[in-house]
Amino acid sequence: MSISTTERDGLIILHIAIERLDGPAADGVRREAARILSGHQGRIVLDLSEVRFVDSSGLGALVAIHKALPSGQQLEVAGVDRSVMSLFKLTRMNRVFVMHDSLSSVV
Amino acid sequence: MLPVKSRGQDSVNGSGDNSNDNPTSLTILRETVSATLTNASTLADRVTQLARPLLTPDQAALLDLGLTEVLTNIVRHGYNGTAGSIAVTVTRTKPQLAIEIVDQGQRIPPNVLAQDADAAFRFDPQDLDAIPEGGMGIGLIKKSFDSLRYEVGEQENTMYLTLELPPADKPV
Repeated sequence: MSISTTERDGLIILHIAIERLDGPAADGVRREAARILSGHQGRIVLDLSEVRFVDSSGLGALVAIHKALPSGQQLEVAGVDRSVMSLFKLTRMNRVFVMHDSLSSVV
Repeated sequence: MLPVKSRGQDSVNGSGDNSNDNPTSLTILRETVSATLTNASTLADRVTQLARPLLTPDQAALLDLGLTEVLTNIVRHGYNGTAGSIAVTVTRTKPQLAIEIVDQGQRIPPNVLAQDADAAFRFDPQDLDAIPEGGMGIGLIKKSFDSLRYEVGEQENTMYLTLELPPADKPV
C-alpha cells in the first residue's frame, strides 16, 4: 500500500509513502485515495513529506482527488519539499490546494 | 516562451548540434529502453542523478521534471500502449547539457508542440471544471529546458533539448 492514514477529530491525513509521484504511481494513488475517502465528510490532508518528485501525472492525480471531494471542500496538502513546491507554483496549483508547510502546521 | 523548431522550421534557441562530433564534449549517458512508464521514470531519475553535479539544484529539478514529461509523453501518446523503444543520449558540451531523445512512435502533433507554455495553467482555481488533470506535459517541457528542437523523420522522431550549465559548472 502506498497510502497509510491517520484520523483524528474528523480530519483524515493520507500519508503518501512513495518517492516519485509520476506515471507509474499516479493512477494507483488516485484510486487508493478515492477508496479511502469514500464517504468521508471531514477535512482531508495529503501528507507529501516522503514524496521527492511529482510530475504532471502526479499533479493530475491530486487534482482528480480534489475534484472528487464534496462541493465546497478543499484538498489540503502538507510537507511539500522545495522542488515539489516549485512545480505547484510553476503550474499555479498552489492556488488550488490549501498548502501547509508541514504536518505540524495542520491545525 | 521557449522557441520550438521542428523539421522545416528554422527558428530555435540553442544549438542542438551533434555534440558527439565536438572534441570537447563528453557523453554522460547513452541508453535505449523499452517504452514503459516505469522505464520513463527510472531513466529520468538516473539522468538527473548523473547530471546533478553539473547543475544548480533548481536546474536538476527541472531536468527531472522535463525529461519525465518527455519520456512519459512518448510512452502514453507516441506509442499509445504499443511496444516500442526510446533512445536517450545525454552529452555535456562546454556551455550546455544536451539531451537527444529518439522514438519511433506517433509524432507530437504540430498544434500541441506549438502550444503556449502557460496555456494549460491559465485557469480559475475556483472553477473546478477548469482545473486541468492532464494536458500539462508540453508546457512543463518548454518551461524545463533552455531550448527545444523537434525533428520528425520517416522512421523516427528526435527531440533535442539543452540546459545551459552554470558558470564554472558550479551548482549555485
